[in-house]
Amino acid sequence: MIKSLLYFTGIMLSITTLVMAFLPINKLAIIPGMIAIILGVVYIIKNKKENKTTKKQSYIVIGLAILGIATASIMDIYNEKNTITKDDNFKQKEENSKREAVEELESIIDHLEE
Amino acid sequence: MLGSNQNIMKNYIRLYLAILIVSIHVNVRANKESIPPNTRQKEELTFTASYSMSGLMTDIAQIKMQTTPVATKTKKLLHLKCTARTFSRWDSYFKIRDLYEAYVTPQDLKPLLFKRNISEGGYEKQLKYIFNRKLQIAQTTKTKKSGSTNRDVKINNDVRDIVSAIYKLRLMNDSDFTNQKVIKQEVLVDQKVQNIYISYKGKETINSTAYGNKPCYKYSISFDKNQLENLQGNKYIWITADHNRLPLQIQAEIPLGKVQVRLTNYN
Repeated sequence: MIKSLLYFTGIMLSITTLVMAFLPINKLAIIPGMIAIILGVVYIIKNKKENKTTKKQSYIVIGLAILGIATASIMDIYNEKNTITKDDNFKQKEENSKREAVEELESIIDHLEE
Repeated sequence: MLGSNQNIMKNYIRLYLAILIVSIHVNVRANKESIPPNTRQKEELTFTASYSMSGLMTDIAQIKMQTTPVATKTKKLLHLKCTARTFSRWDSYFKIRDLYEAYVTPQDLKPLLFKRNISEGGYEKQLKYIFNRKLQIAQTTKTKKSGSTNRDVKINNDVRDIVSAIYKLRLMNDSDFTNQKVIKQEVLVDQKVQNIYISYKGKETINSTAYGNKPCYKYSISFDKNQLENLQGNKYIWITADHNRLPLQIQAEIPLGKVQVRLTNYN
């Protein structure tokens, strides 16, 4: 029962690591990845203590987690860092807002000075 | 799941802005040598907002605060602008393009007009406040995709919009700011007058990528009963203890990690 839980949690965390590796939060992928590796190792140790053959699935958990962490590291290195996309719409929005505001201010000032 | 994340992100961005305001409030109040903004009409502060978990930090957005002069036919005013934009890699997942503006008189920095235009992951909203001090009323207009609503909000002389509050407070003397004293600031947010409270927590050295190790004043921030209250956990700000008094770092603890806002450039 405990070993099944270890395996299930490990595989879920490994998959999470792989998915996170391709998202902007790829730096954080190391957290589920490391937990998955630890769970995989615990699974293997438990099997050895019970003198049972370790199933290849436990190695898959560790392998997937390592792959996820490696992918996340590579993606982090090659991804663009803190760049801001040139956004003409937003720039236009800023300019329009200012132009409209100046027009509004004319009437606000006239109204307040009455 | 995605909707929930979007709501959290929206709250974070609002929290960043609210904390930024408080940060500069504290900065100014503690700064004897600060230059009044009416004598310094061009200024730009750039911040990076990040999410941090177990020491691993992910940068999310850039926040900028700018001051420029603006002239109407009869008056010279100051245009105080604050923008929040997600970094390129986030735009496909959760694009934020927020614009906050206040138009104030340079003499007393009282706002005549405040505009807020936000676009956060498909959610859009515009707010406009016209401050009528004679009648002690702010005429507010909120516009969403579903339509717009108008409301007159009763205000006193100390109530300011979220942006102009920063700059007005820069003119204040620091003599009334003493250790452990709590300062209250009234701000008009979402067509309601709300309170922000600040208390002094002592001195700490902060390691900043942009400015190296800097001794800073640490302040704690709390909010009145409003939507920001939903974000539980401590909220702190560190202000450099030098003549610049820069808001070097802002931190808000959340259930899974913390949100940090760091000053990256000052012109």
